[in-house]
Amino acid sequence: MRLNKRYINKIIVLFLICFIIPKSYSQNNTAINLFDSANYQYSKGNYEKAIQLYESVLNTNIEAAALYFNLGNAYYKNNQIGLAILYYEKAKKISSNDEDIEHNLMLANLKTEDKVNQLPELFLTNWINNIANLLSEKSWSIICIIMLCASLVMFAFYFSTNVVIFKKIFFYIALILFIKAIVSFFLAQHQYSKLKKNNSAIIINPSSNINSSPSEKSTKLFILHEGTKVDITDEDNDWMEIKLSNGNVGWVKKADLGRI
Amino acid sequence: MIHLISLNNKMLRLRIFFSLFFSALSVFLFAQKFTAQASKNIVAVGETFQIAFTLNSSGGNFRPPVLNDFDVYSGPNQSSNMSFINGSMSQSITLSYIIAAKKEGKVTIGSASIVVDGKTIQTNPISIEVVKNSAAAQNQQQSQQQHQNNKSAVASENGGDNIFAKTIVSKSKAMQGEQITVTHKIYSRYQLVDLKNIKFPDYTGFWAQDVPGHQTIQVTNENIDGVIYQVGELKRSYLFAQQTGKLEIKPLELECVVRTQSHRAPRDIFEQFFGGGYEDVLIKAKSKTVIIDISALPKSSQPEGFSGAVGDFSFKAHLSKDKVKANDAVNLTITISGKGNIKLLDPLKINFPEDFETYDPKISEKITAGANDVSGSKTFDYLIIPRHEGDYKIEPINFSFYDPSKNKYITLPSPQFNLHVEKGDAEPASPVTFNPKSKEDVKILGNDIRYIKTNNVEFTSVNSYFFGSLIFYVGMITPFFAFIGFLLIRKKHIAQNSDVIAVKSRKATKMAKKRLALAEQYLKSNDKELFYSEVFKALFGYISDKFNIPLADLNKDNITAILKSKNVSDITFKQLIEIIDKCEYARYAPSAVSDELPTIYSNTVDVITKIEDEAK
Repeated sequence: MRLNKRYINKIIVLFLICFIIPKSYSQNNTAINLFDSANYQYSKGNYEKAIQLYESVLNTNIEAAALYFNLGNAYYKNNQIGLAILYYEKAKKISSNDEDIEHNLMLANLKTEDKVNQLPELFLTNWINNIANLLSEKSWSIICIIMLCASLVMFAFYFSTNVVIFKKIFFYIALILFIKAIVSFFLAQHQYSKLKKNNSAIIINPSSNINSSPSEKSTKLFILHEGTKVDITDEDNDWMEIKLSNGNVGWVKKADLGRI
Repeated sequence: MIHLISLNNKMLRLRIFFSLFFSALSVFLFAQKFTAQASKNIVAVGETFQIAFTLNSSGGNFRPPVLNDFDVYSGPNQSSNMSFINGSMSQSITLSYIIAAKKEGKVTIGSASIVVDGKTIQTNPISIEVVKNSAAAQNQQQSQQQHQNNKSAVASENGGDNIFAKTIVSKSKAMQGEQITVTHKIYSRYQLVDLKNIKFPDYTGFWAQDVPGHQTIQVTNENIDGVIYQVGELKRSYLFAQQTGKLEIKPLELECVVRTQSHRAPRDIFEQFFGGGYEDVLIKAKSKTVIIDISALPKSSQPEGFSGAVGDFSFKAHLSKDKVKANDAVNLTITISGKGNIKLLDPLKINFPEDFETYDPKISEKITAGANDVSGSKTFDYLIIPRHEGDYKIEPINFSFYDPSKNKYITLPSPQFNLHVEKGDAEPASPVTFNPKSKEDVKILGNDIRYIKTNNVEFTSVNSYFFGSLIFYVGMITPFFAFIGFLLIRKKHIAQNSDVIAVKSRKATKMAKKRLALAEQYLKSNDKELFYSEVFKALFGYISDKFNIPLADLNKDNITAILKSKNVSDITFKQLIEIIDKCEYARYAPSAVSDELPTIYSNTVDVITKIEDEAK
C-alpha cells in the first residue's frame, strides 16, 4: 500500500509540471503592452490605429481568442466586414464556445451581401461537434490524462483489496473512468484536427470574381462579396479552388481570400 | 313649370308694353338688376356684335345709351322670359342691339337706364376695343361676296397661322418646388364648333394641381398683332417641380372642328338664305414643347429637418391636453397652411419621449387651386398614449420651408409641450385588454457588436497545441508505466508473502534487530560492558513486552515457567538462559567473558526470532 501511494504522488507532481510549463513561458510582456495600447485606441474610437497595433501583436507570432476577437471588432467598426468575419472565425476556432464571439459573428454575417444556402449538417455530426466544442483541445487532452490516471489508480485499488465488494466497486469505477478517458481522447483529437486543418476561408475582397479555371481569361462563373465563407479544395500558384456551402465550385485569386 | 317666351323682332312701344304686362306683377319681384353685356370685347372695325341689356323685373322708360360710334344694324330687339317655379314667378326682359364699330380704338358704350317702381336704374358702361379691320373681319364681311364668287379662303388642313395651340408657362426658370402656372390655349380665327381628342401632356417630373371648372370652354377674343383670335382656355394647372434639371412639357395635341365657308356653291336659294354653304372642317393642332429649367434649392443655408416645402406657409401645433392619466390618449395636431406645394409635405419628425406609444399620424388635407395659386392646409394628427405617470416634455417641433419670393429658408418653431401624466386607473377598463402596466420587454434601442475583451487574455504561441505534444504523450504513457511498475512490485510482494514461515521469522528478526539497535552500536564501538548490559536489557524488555509481565517481576525462574507455558522449545530456552547467564557474568567480571561480541549478538537475534516464531 505504501508503495502505491508514492507512485500516485509522483504522478500528481508530473501533472502539475505539465500545466505550469506551457503557461509560464507564453506570457510575453511586449505583446501584452501592445495589446493593451491597442485596446486603448479601440476604446478611443481610433479603429485604424487599433487594427495596426493588433496586427503587430499577431506579428510576434502569438495568438489568443481575445486578440482575434478584438481585431475582428476593430475591423467591424472600420466597416471592413470581410476581415471582421475572418478574425471572428479565427477567434471562434480557438474558443469555440464563446457567446460574445458568436454574437458578433452573427451581426457581422448580417451585413454580408451573399446569401449562400447552407447544406444542413448530419444530426450525429452536429451532436458530436456540439459536445466537442464545449472545451478546447487542451482541456480535453488534460481531462483525458486525468481520467486515465484516475482509472489506473482505481485498477490498482482493485488489485490491492481482498474484500469482494470493494473489488467490484473499484473495478466498475475504473472501467467507467477508462471509457471516459478514451472518449476525451477522441474529442481532443477532433478539436485538434479542426484547429490543424485550415481549409476554410473568408472572401476579404469586397467583390471577387469566381472563375471556372485558375486563369484571368477563363469564364467568370459568379461573383462573391466580402464575408462569404468558403472551403478550399485545391491550390494552383496564385489561385485557389473553392467550394461554397451550397455546392458551387470555382477558382478565386489567393489575395481575395483569408484563411481561417 | 310654365315657360313663357315671347320674342318680338319688331320694335314696340316699350312704355305701353311694360305698363300693360308687368306693372301689376311688380309686387312679386324683389331685387332688381339691370345689366349690360357685349358679346365680344375686342372687335374689328365693321365687325358686327351684340350688346344686350337685361332687367330681371319689369320696368319702363328705357333709355338706350348713345351709340354714335357704332352702326346699328338691328335693335332694340326685345325678348322676355317668364317662369313659374313652385308657384313663384321670375321674369327677365332683354333688349339687344346688333351693332358694328365705325373706327378703331377704345370705345365706351355708355349706360342705359330704365325706371322700375319709380326708381331709375343704370347699367355699367362697357368698354370695347376696336382694332383695324383684319382678315377675319374681312372674311366675315366678304363672305357674301366669296359665296357668290365660289372662291373660298378656307384654312389649310393643318391650321397654320389661322389655328394653333399654345402651352403658356408663367416661368421658364424656377426652383425645385416653386409654383409654375401652365395654361393650354387654342387660338383660332375661325368659328370653333367642337374640340375633339384633346391630349393633354403628362407633367413628368412635376406634381400638378389642375384648376377645376374647364368642363365648358370659355371662348374670348384676343388681339395678337392686330389680328383677332378666338381663344379658348382648355386647361390651367399649377406645377411644382419634383426634380432638378431641364424638364419638358410635351406638346398638347387636339383636333378642332371649325366652321368655314363651303367650297361649293349653295344648292339652292334657301340654303344660301338660311346660312347654308358652310361646312365643318377638322383641323389638327399641336403646341410646341416647353422646356422649364429647374434649379435646386440652395443647399448651404438649408435648415435641419427641411423636407422640401416651398411656398409661404404658416404652422400651428396643438396638444389636446396637458394633463392626462396614464393609458389615456392625447392628440397632437399639427396644421400647416398656406400657398405652395402643400400636397408634398411629409409628416414632421417629432421627438416623442421613448416611453410613449405613438402611432403614425392621420393626415388630412384640403387643397384648392385658386385663380393664381394653390393654397390649402394639411393636418397631421398624432395619437399618443403615455403608458407611465410622470412629467414629460415634447421638444419644440420645427417646420422649415423655402420662400421663393424672399429667396430664403424660414423655420417656424412650435412651443415646447409639457405633458403631466397622472397615475392611470389601476385596472384597465376591459379585462380582455392586455395590461400594459405588467412586465414589458426590454426595449432594444440599437444593435451593436459586443465590446472587446480586455481581461484574462491567455496568449499562446501560434500553432502550439497541447494535444500531440511531447508533454501530452508523456502524460499519457507515464501512468501506464506507473501501473505496470505497481503490478510488478505487487507481484514480488505476493511471491514473498506466499512463504508464511519465512515471512514470520523475517518479521521477528526485524523486530529483534530493532530492539538490539543500541547493542549493535556498542558492538561496533567494542564497549563490552555496555554491550552486555544492553543485550540483557533488550532480552528482558522483549520478554516483558511479549508476555505482558512487568519488568521488575522478571527473573530467571519465572521466565522459565512462562516460556514453558508458551510452548517454547527447550533448545531455544537453553540458548536464552545461556545468553542471560553470559550477560550476568560479564556484568560482574567483564574481562572473564571470552566470547566474541558478534557471536553473542547474532545468538541473541536468533533467540528472539525463535521465541517469536515458537511462542503461541
